Amino acid sequence: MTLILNPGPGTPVADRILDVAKEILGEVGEAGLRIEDVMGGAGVQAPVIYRHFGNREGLVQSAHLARFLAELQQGSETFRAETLVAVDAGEFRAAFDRLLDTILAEEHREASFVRFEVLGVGTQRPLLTEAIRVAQSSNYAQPVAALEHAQEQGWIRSDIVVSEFLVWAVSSILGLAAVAKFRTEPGIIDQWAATHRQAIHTVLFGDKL
Amino acid sequence: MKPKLNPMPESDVARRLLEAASEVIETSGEASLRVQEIVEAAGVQAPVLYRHFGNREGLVQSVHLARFLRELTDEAEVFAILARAAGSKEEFRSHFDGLVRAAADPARRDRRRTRLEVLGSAMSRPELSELIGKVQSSTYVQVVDALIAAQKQGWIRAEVEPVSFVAWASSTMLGLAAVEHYGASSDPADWWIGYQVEACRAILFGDD
Repeated sequence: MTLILNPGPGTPVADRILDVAKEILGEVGEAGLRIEDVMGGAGVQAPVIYRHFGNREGLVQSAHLARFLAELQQGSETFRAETLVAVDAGEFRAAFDRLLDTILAEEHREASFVRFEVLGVGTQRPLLTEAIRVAQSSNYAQPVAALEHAQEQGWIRSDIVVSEFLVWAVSSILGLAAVAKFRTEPGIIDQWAATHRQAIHTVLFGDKL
Repeated sequence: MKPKLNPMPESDVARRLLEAASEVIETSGEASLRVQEIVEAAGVQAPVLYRHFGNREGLVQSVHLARFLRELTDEAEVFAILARAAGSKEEFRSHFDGLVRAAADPARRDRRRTRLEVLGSAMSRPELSELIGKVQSSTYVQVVDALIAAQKQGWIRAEVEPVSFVAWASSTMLGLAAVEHYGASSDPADWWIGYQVEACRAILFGDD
């Protein structure tokens, strides 16, 4: 059978299977996902799994996608419409810095590992790649609108394209996940965050160091 | 059996297995790797594979690590651009610009994606993560040293912390890989690197 990409929510049974698979991916990664464990965890027989996800690969990709979508959802809750509402440049900058602090904070680290992992394992999987592409494309609409408003008010530099700036600033935060996961030098995570703040400030506000 | 990480095997058969597995993973990803096909392509029996790599998982991880090592070697060549002796601040700056241009070259797109893929696959694999961490820091020594030397000359800002600056600048390239693969723009490298260069220059040299 061919794989079925089914990140839920769907029928209660499919959702239960997906929950078990997501948990296994979070604990031991996709290489450790065994269909027998999913059967045991969800209390279903193998054909039920294959009916909903096609095959093991379909379940793996669906669970990755579900984790990614949950992370995106959490991200858009961090950025709500009122997050960057301000009456003047100073207020805007303070609000922007609070948002940046939230994104770079340790509480976000696990979520950023998940995002990194799914983007990594998705590169060689055309269906997953396409689903991630679609899910991400609408994700920047709100922050772009807020930054465009700030630009009209003259609160940020006029010579940047805010949609591109935002993609640069957000995508490069993948680097923080990599450094947090793979580097062990003391203080390197905080220094990474400090450097990223400087980078964003110079580009967005034209700060001189 | 446990996975055995063996990215640079000395034995000829193990190398053949690694090459066959590499080809499959690079064309269609690790999920499509079948032990039977690999042993056939390498012209060996399955126990040979298990002797050298422990199990399928050991072979997969070894391929990822081997690809990562190749990618690092290649990155070291890019870094060497900055390590060339500079006689003045202007010369150092032009070396720095050359480094960024080389790193962001569209021809390196596949390599950037490989790095994203390997690191992503390593997220849930503790042994692989640990090995990647170990080999990674040593790659950057060359460019860190170049920054330290430039700092002594007063060519870059005294506040810059070379190790963490290099960790930041190199790791953010993963963002470019993600945007190239998942983004809507067909060739984002130009504007993405534009912002990156501007930020690097501001941080290193204090200008915009």
